[in-house]
Amino acid sequence: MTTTRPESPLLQVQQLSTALGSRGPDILSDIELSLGHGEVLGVVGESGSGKSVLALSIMGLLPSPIRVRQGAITLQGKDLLNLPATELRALRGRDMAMIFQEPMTSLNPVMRVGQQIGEVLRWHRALQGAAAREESIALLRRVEMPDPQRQIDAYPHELSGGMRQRVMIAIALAGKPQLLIADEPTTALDVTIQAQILGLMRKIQRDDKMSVLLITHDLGVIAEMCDRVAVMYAGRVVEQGAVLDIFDRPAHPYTRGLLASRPRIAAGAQWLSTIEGTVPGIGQTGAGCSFAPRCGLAGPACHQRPPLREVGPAHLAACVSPFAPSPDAAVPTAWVPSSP
Amino acid sequence: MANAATLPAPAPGRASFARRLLANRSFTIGAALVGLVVVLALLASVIAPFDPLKGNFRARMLAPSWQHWMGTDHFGRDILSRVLHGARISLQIGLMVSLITAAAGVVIGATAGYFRRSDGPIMRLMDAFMAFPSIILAIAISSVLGASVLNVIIALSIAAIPHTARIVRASVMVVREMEYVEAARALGAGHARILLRHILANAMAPLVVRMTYVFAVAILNEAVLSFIGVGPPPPAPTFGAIIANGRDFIVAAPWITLAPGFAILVSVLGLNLLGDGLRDVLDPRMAVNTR
Amino acid sequence: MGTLQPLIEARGLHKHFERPRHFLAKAVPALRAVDGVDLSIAPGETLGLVGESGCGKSTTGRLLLRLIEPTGGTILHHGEDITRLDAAGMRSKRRAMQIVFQDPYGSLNPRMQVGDIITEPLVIHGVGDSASRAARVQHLLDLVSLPSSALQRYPHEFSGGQRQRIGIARALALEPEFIVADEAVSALDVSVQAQVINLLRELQRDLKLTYLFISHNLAVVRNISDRVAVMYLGRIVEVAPADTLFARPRHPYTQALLAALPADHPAQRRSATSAQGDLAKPDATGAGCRFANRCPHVRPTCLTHDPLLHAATPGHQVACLRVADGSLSP
Repeated sequence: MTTTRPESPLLQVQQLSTALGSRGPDILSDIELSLGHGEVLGVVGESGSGKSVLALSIMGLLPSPIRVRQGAITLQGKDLLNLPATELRALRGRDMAMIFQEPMTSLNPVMRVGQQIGEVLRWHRALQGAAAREESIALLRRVEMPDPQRQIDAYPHELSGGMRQRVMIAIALAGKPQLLIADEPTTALDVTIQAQILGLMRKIQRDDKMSVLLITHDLGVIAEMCDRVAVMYAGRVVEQGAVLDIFDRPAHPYTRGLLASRPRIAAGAQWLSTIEGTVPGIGQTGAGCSFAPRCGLAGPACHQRPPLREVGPAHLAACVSPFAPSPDAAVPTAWVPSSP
Repeated sequence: MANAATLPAPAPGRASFARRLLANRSFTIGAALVGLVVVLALLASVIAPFDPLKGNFRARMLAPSWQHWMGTDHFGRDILSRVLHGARISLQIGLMVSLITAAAGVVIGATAGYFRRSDGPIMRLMDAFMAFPSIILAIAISSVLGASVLNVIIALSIAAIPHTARIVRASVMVVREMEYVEAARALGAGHARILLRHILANAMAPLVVRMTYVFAVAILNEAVLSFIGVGPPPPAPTFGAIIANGRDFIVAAPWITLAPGFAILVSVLGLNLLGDGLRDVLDPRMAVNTR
Repeated sequence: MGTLQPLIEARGLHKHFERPRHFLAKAVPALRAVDGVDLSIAPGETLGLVGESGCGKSTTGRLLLRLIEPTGGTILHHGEDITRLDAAGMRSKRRAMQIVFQDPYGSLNPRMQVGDIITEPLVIHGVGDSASRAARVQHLLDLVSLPSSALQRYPHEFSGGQRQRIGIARALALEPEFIVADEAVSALDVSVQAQVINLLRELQRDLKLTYLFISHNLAVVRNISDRVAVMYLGRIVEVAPADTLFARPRHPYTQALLAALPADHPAQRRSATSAQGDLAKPDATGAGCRFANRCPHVRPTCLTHDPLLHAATPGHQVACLRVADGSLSP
């Protein structure tokens, strides 16, 4: 696992809030994140957590009624939110690239795969013709596509889900980005294919020392891939830390609840620990802690929104009474016993 | 385990459907125009200042004035009164055509869309009818059946049914694949229940929008039929007949043709706007999930 | 426990889909979605059915309920062959066999109130009068922990987890003994999934239900199943009690599936994967074992002989030539 170098982070998100419309409710609320060089940061959250909106905010691809209300996003010192459109477009695809969940809808169905890779090569690396084709084949080989010489002329619908995802990764790599944002890249894939793609991503990340912002709801993917983790709930970051800290010493009640409610093979058949209630919708979080209505341990102090505070070295949690790590704690299986 | 005891606040549902409709400008303007025409037509006998059929030879070809708001025609008949009564006939025809087309379109389209084996033969028959431009078809049928309001209704309905059936069929074919239909089958529901309770209830939106269009086209086509001479017989003051009467006097007395033309414009425009508004409110919201 | 006769049995179950083609084009081989499936489910048990996309597990679930008509094979309910039943006979059978669907958004009629959705099965089968139906519906709501105010609301006013509860209540209305849960929790968030899994377990215990639990999520299947069957390209390749299957998988595909699972904890990260290549299309089967093109233990005979399910140890069946002849040790 790589550790962040002491130099300034590659990507920094500060006090980012996005809202629905000019006077609408917040979707993201005061997000603080940083991603170092060569690091894999996992953003984990369930639906309604706002994790995809976070990715789109960074890329500058927010769909129209949603807009950034406040905050700053800097990539290598450049302020992304105040960049003129042409400069942002030059950055996109070159310095930062994104891969999506559904390769079938993210690839142009009427363009051959090689042409789609070639677009990036043309725009961002000024490669044309034969040179572009060679580089495209090299990229396909890099993403372990079988028979790249032939597949370069395939249409997306002729490829399987796993192969399409490889094409998406190839397109993302074509610009030689420093930042890769992956939004649920393996959710739509079968388990065996997912394992291949995750392995591939890890290999490429290590070889290129690329920074990856990996968004997922799957804690298993987080465990496999990430150096650091940010846990999101209802548009806020509720916990952040190194992956081992998050798994072994989760401080925020939501993180603990999430970890405890996973069915696990090793655990066999058993009643699962659950988090009561449902995720609040947009605009339904009150002034206090957004998790308080579902938290079995909420108290009067929770009526005020808790800031992210340090609970350990490089480990932050937004809770007024986080769980204290004990040195010999085993992986928690339940935080509040739920009676069957 | 009362974890679901608190429901989320009720998301936009049935009650605010009406609210959304009223918030849609296209719908409200359209509804206002149509409402105006309907009210005037219904009250035609009461508010028409003159008898639409009685001519006054001393008041022939008079330009619009305070006495005759829309002027008079070559027989001295008050155009305003004729237009008001004509509106009644046109609305009658439009409404009947819409209803008949809807009923037949639903039966034919739902059958074709739901019972796969009937789809081929039924749609080929519809295609045959659709091969004719609808107005030509209407003219042909009307000429054969003879001139009367009822025959005009029949002719225009037959012309409009195939396309409507096609729309219903398409909608039914989409809903047929929904999982809640499969769920109903799993519960043991028979075809009738599935068609009525599950499929048609959810496939109606495109049909409702289509009906406003059919209504508008019926008004237009009736005017064409009357203009040509195969519509309701004179002296019935249908829009088309009034225009036909004024055809020879367009330069001398343009108001004879302009007045009913304006009435057609208001009716058709109102219906189109109403239909557009309905479509906007119905279609995307129907599929929306609030979570 | 209970009788020896299985509640549900499938023998040689087939479903081949004809592929539509232009009349001038060459004939395309049929899609063999389910290609010879035998399974049996004992009363009160939960059989988990796992596999990746295209393996035929969802189709199998629907075949058992004759929501899709099989192209071959028999299905027995308490020993009675239901493939021979006419529409009326099947209709009364449906009271005993129900299904919960994957999609909480698509499986409920958006234009029906929740109360009507749950009452509908009772209406269809003429059960009780309106008073007793109302009481039953209220009881069903209690079983799935939904408040009575839900009755007048519409599905879109509820979250995914709540909609699944509505679907479960609907499935329980006729007091079935057998329920097919077709990816019933796959579309739910992790924390909601846990709630619904617990609910299903509770209902099974209290109402003596038998489940066929279809899922691609192995951890969920592990949690809820007594026995597990693994499907690959239309066939069952391994069946065993859950503990045994996950601790000592014998079929190379099952082994590959388990090896491909993401780690539970960062300290357990995998290094390599063992199943290379992509799934073959379900019709592109030659004579031999379907898994041959991806199997790390493949031998020449695997390409010519199609393995059948064979008991490697009592209660543990595997469809693999090398396991059958003992050349592949556990």
